Amino acid sequence: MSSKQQNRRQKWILDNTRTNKADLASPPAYVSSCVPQSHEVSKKTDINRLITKKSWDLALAPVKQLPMNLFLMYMAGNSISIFPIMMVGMLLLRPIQAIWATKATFKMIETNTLGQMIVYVLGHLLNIGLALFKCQSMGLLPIYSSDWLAFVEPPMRQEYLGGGIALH
Amino acid sequence: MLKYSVLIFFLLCRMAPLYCLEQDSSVSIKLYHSLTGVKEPNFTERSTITIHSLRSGQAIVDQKPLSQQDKIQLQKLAINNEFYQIKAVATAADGSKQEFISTLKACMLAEAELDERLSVSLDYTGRVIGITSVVASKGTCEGSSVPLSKFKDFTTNVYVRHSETGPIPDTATYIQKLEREREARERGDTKDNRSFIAKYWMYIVPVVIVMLISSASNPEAGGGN
Amino acid sequence: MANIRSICIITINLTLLSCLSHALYEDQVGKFDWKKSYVGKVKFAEFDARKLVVGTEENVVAALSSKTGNVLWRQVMEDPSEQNIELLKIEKDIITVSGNENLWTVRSWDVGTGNLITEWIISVDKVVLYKFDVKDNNLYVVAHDGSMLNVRVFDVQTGLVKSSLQIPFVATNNQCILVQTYYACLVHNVVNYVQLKDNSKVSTIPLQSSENAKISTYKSVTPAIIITTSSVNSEIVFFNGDNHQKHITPVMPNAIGVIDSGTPLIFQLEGTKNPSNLLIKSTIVTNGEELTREFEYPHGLGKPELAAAQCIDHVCNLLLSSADNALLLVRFPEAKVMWTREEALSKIVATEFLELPVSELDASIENEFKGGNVISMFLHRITTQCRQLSNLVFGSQFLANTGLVRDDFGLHKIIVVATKSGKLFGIDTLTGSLAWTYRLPNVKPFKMLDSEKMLLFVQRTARYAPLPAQCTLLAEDSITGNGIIIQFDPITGYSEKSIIRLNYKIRQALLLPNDDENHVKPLVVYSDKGDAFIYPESANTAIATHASHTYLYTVDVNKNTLNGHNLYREGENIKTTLSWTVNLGPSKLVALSAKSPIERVHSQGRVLPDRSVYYKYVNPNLLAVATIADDPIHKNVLSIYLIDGVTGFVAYSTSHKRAKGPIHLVHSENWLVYSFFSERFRRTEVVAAELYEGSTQSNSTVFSSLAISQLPHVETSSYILPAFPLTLAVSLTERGITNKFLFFALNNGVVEIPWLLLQPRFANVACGPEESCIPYMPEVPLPNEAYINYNQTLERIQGIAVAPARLESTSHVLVYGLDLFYTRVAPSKTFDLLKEDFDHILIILVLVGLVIVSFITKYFASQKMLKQAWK
Repeated sequence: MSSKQQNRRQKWILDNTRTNKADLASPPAYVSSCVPQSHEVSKKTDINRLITKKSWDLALAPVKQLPMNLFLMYMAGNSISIFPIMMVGMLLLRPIQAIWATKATFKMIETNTLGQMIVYVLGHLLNIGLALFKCQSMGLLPIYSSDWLAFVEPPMRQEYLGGGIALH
Repeated sequence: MLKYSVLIFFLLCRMAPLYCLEQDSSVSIKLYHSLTGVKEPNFTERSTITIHSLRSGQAIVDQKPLSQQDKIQLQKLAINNEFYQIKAVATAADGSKQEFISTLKACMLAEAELDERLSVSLDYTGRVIGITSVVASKGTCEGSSVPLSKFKDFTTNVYVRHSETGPIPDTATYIQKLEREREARERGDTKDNRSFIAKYWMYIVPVVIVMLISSASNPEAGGGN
Repeated sequence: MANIRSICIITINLTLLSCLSHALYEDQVGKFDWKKSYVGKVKFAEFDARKLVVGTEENVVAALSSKTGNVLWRQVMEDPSEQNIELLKIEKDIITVSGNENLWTVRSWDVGTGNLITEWIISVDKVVLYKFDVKDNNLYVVAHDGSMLNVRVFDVQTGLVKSSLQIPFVATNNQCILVQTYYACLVHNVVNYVQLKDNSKVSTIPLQSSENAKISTYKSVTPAIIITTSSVNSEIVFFNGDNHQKHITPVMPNAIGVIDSGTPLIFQLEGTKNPSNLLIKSTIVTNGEELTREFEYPHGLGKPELAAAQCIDHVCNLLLSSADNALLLVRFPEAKVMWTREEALSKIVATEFLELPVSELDASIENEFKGGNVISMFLHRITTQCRQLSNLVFGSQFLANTGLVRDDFGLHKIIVVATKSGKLFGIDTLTGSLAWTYRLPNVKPFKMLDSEKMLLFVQRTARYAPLPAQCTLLAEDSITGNGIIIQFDPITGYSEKSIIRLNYKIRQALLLPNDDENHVKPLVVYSDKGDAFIYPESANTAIATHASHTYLYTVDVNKNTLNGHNLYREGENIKTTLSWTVNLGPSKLVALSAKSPIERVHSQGRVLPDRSVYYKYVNPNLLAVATIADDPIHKNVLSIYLIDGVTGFVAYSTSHKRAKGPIHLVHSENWLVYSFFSERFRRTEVVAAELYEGSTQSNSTVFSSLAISQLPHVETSSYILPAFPLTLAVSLTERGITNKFLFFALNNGVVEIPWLLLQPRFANVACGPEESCIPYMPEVPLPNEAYINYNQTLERIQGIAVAPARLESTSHVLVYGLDLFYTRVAPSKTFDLLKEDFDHILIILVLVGLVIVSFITKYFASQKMLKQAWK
């Protein structure tokens, strides 16, 4: 079975590396000395450039999402009802989840991507910042003293008083 | 040897309409203090305060300087967490005398470097009902030892506190408010004749932006291919 | 647009106002409230067929059923401090004469329904002794001024004078009575009497011994009086024309006469060898035959006396009234007590709500920790929990308590009530029944401003099982005026040491806030000489640590001064030193209010619309004092002072010109509400004053009255109340989170007004539904749904007692006066309880059903997926 398969494969493969035909004449103007290295070099740099370009794309993706989120938040309005809250919640949670999964996202890129990871994380942080700004304009952020009023403990009483009208 | 020390201080009374002493009078207060604690108080003269006009509340304080022994006694009171008591004898303009007693914690007084405030409370006729000596601070203390050098002389600020006039139910504003609402209902409300754009710009502008963005991204996508 | 806006405003206002209504549904009546009606101490009593008509010292005429003792109808006349009943007689209708020195009102009432038939007034100029009696539709009014009798005979129904006589009669006025048409006076050692007709002469009855002799009327068909010469000896004298006739045998001082099928009988009470039994003796007048019966007198009632009797076919009902205002009906030949009424509860002078202990089963879990080793503790816990489980499944056979057990929400409490006659009662809040009574002989309340009060302190609650709860009552001895102390267990009413009569007069008392080692809060009693005594005497540790932080204030009503004292410990004694004085001047102190010591303030500030906090000035040591001064220009001037009780510092003082009493004060949290009658506008005004510290808290951890860093700002606002309040109170909850309601006791009941309606609004801050602020209305609305007593009438309300329940949303309210009314109030509508018709069963069924369905579906889904994978 395996030989049949192998034969089938061999039928269709253009295998340039097999040199069973020993001396084939080289085509005209072909110099057999210097070309392959530059190919490989250009291939390597091409690949590198592609990789860095891809990683930068990945890193800048959250920043590109920022204007859209901005617009979305503007449309959501400042009232407190279910859809605005859901949208703000998602805007807050997705960047956080993405930050946790940074390593996984950048795993497929083998080269060192520290800069890109930092930019990626920063982009998500900006999104979180936008969500917090939206919370603040909705009035949900507890930055005023009245928000912490419920946690203020009543002061302890130092002096104790008793008595009343003199009965005699 | 009398020494004229610090004079006149702030008025705590607010604007005139809230209180109105029908007749202005004067009060003279003689202060005695007990440096031996409150269980067996031994009152000695301390100062004399004259308030010429109760309405303005300006007071002239005539204070005897503290002797070294007094200072030592005060320091001892402060260390032992005892009380410092004053007795005030107020003589009104018609000659009637009244005695008031007020107590402070000696350590609070020592920590404030003998800066005390005297509050003279009056009733609606201008009679003195209470004289209290307080030290302005945020918390109390339980005995503190303050070096003798900090005990200089007493700084007394006198505050004359008048009785305010009680409020009256505000029927006039309420009736006016009801009248206004009734008139507004009868007249019909404001006209809304701003231009169309002015009323509905909030809805038009986002639609325009969305269209621009989508056309911007579409030519890109179209051009990219 | 305009219409929509106005519709919006009206709907908002309506919704806001409708939130103020807290009416009950009809089927909720009686579920968590009860009412008891009382009539007061019986002064006159007459039987009429199946009814017993009584006239009481509270100026109340009522009809009780002679079989059950329940009130059939009751008519409340004027206030007893102004007028008193002088006569009650039943002829065809009930005739009552009530009044005071120069105004007498004669009324006649229908026996069956209690409706007023006629009413007319006798007004007189001179104030002399008046005596009244009714005979055959004639009202005899005798005015005796020492030398002359001025007799006027009126027609009872119309009030027209039928005749008028003058009879010379010399006697001092104290011991004189009018019996039908005879007027008799005790003069030195004889009794002079005269018949009220023309040309009658004065006759004399000689007496053997005249010391401590008393005469009183004797009920019978022929006019008769009873002369009491000693505590066990009296004589009945019948009048006949100008002569008199003594009854042969002497009788007890408290004998009454009654007719039984034509034969006149005399009933009297005598003591027996057994101190808890009494003997009733009935004597036939004509032949002297006696019939005696002994019966057991109920334990806990005071000394009895016969008030009225009725005999129908040789079965007699005797009405006994006891010294502690209780009423008993005893049926004669059977010698059985048919019913008892505790009328002492119509004059309550002190109340306290107490928590009940947990059931014994729950308390036994606490005993777990007393075991030695781990195994025994574990076994103990397992057995207790098995018992609890079986208790839950099979019912409460294991409960050994009498039923006075705490319930989950703290709604089952016991109210300890002290009354003016010196009797203590324990009332169950769920049913209103009396759990226990305790009688204190010869005890009277203190006089405080214009009311009478006793001091009741809770020294230990029932939380520290097995130690019993302990309460202490302070009152005065009615004879000597010295203080008395009684310590008792409020759950069972048992007192170990019984009443302790002190040898000093009590000036004030103070309960220290910290417990000693037995969890008892020591009580410091301050005598009139300035000494301080501690009860219990052994409580030294608590005092040692906290005495220097404890201050006592006393208010001298005569000199109009307030004094503050600091306590300190010297050896084994507590001593006080004078700390501050305040002199309020030549005015009359009318009201004093301190804050309730169990109150907690939950939120420390008020939130403004710009989300900043305006902090409250909560000073637990603040006292509110109200005085009224006479002023030549302004007639009466009301002054209100807020004085700190520790330093004597006057935090706020205000005055209202031309304001008259009665003044009522309510002081709570950081605000004060007071009501007065404004003579200038002739209306009752209510003023609310609230104290604030400012935008920053001066000290957020510790509050000390001695450390004043800034003066409090006061915001005030004033309202018109379209009624006359009798008393004011505020609702209390355990943590202070719920809104507060103010209770105004008016003539026909108690109305609850939310504090948000009276809270002073800030001038520069908008007020609307968004800020949860009700806009200012100068008149306080009193909607009908706001009456907490829905359709029950509450007569002569004297006070309102409020206590928190363990549920945050609820408070207990007891309204006392002539009637007792208890209810539960939820100012923010029971937000921490499920609603009553919550469908537990439906929800459980649905949940169980869904769970089952989800399991079934999971099974089927997994089957289906398996099949699909095989394809």
